[in-house]
Amino acid sequence: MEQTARSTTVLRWMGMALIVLMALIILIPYYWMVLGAFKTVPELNRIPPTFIIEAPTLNSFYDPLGELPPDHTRGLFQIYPGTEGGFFRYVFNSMFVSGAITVCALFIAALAAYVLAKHHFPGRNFFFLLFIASMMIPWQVTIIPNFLNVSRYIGLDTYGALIIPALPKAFALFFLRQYMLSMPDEMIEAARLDGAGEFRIFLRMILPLVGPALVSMGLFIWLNEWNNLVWPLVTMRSEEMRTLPLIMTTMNDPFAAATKQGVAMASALLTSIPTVILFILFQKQFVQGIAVVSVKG
Amino acid sequence: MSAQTYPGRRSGAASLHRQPASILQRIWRSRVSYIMLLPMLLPFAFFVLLPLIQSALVSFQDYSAVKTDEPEYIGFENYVNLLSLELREQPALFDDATGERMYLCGRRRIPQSEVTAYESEEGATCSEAFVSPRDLLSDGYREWQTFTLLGKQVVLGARDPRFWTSIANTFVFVFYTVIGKLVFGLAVALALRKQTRFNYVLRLIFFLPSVTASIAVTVVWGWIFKGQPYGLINYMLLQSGAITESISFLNDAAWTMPILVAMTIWGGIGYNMILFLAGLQNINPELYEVAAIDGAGPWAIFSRITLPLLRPTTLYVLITSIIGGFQVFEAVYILFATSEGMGGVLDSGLTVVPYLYDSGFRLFQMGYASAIAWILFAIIFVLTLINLRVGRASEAY
Repeated sequence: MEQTARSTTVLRWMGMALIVLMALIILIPYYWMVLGAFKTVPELNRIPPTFIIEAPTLNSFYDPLGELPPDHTRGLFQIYPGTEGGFFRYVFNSMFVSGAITVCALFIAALAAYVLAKHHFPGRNFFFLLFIASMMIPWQVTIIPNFLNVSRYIGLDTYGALIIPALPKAFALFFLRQYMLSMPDEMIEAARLDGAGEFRIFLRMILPLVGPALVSMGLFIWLNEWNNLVWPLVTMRSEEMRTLPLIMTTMNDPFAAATKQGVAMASALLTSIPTVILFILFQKQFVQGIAVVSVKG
Repeated sequence: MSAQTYPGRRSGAASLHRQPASILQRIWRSRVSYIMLLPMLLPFAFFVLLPLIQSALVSFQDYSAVKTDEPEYIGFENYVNLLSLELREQPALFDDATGERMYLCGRRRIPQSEVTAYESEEGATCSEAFVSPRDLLSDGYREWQTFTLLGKQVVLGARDPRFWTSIANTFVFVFYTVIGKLVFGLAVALALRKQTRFNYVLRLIFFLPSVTASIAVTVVWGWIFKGQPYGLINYMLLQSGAITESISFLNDAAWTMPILVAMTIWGGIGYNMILFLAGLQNINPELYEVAAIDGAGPWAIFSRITLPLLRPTTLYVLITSIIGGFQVFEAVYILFATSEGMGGVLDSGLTVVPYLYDSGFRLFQMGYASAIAWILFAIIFVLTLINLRVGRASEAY
């Protein structure tokens, strides 16, 4: 009896050691990213690689002596002279596009969700089923006609081409509607009797009440758009309209010299930092968003 | 007038007092609802519904975006070209004059009698030669696979072998990633089930890949797998003495799939862990207490209580992982795509979506690419249905 108890404890400790080891493996790329972003060029070139930075530097971001090889190369904010603002422009593009999509998509989805949750009108179930059914269709099916339509009617290389087609988000509508269904009808009726119009009820009463759901959904949408590669890849052609994911695709030449690693890691770091900050600020909402969608789905 | 126009009012309530309203009247009274639906409905119609119809139409067309000719309807030709397979028995090759069995040594074909001499002379190894697939397959077909079936050498030809390669690669990818993500996700969730501070930190770490920019991390993986000794993996392998010369992981067909699978599992554990943790929370703790009183061992508790009660979660994880797996694109594009093709060395990493991208946006075969998309949709749809069926059936039991 005592022996089995001891062997389960040993097993438990071994299991925990395994989990911790796995967690360390999860962290490897992040460690490597931070390491590479702050090393000097000679340190990047060194074999074997160093695992603790000897002389931390910001040169991979901006190097005043960038034109003096071999110990210096131009930093991330210097390598795009063809674009006004350089790398800042790409950060702005990504911020602006994913921000605009998140705000607009949430607003129209919440508006439709309110109508489909709390109004009774002919076609209500039809519209709801239409939105739900569309969630089954993978984006690959519509990407080609969307590309053709957008190039014809909106124009490639425009912010509109990035933002407008991304606005209808059926899953956001579904999620927000589920959330609104649990709100009492009496409250809305009371507001109507007080003479409030439907838009006013939506803006002043519904939106504040679905706040937590909006945050969860907004984070989810924002993260997906921040990471979106395929759509900008097919619709953006000019240098200055590129988004951060498009910049990242240029950072992985299999035969690139070790020197380029600093700039690659610096841009990877700047691309992932906003997402990590949001995650740290909104851990609960991130996790809730996933858990709720899965339970309902 | 005023009271009845509230959109929230059920038409049934009004009918107590007056004639039931006609459908047109009810639509007119609900105009506020329709106006509020419109901001969502309009972009939905233009960027989801319309393209869906267009996509179906385009998949029946010969639509090249670079040519100026009008797209032409060609019926099912795109689908036929994609899906056609042909199986042929591949007979052994004999010398026409002597009737002797032929052998293939490097690029040369020589009769059996000369093989021993040739092998010792050139140091090459020879194998039995077969009739060339080109002479066996019909027009338009090219060799995709050669293998032994029921003791016979056969050749499987396809009109588009690259498409079949992409399908086969995708199935391999989905198989390993789904199992890996499921097993590791469940294991981590079980290990970190208790609400302690330490477990909380570990959970955050496992969840990190799900929230960081996946593209940025993929690029970092690319540098970690670099073929030169400054690549982290190569350095560690060299250091440990497992290898003596660095491996060019990203340019070696044998390594493409293992790297893709490992990276995807790495990124997916945390997401599935969250789902399983949510599922575990729904299990009544009393069940465990009762089991403990009955003297059930850890394995019995896991297999008789935890696993059966997690079935809905497992089903959901399975379905989402399969759907996600079939749509893999970014990792392939970032790590393996070159100017010559999307799928890396010898198309070893070519999966369906990169192939769709290749046809649609590099070769501009819009019709062909749309047909690929519909086949992908059909595969995902059927697999989801099977999953739901099997899930329901076992639930009833």
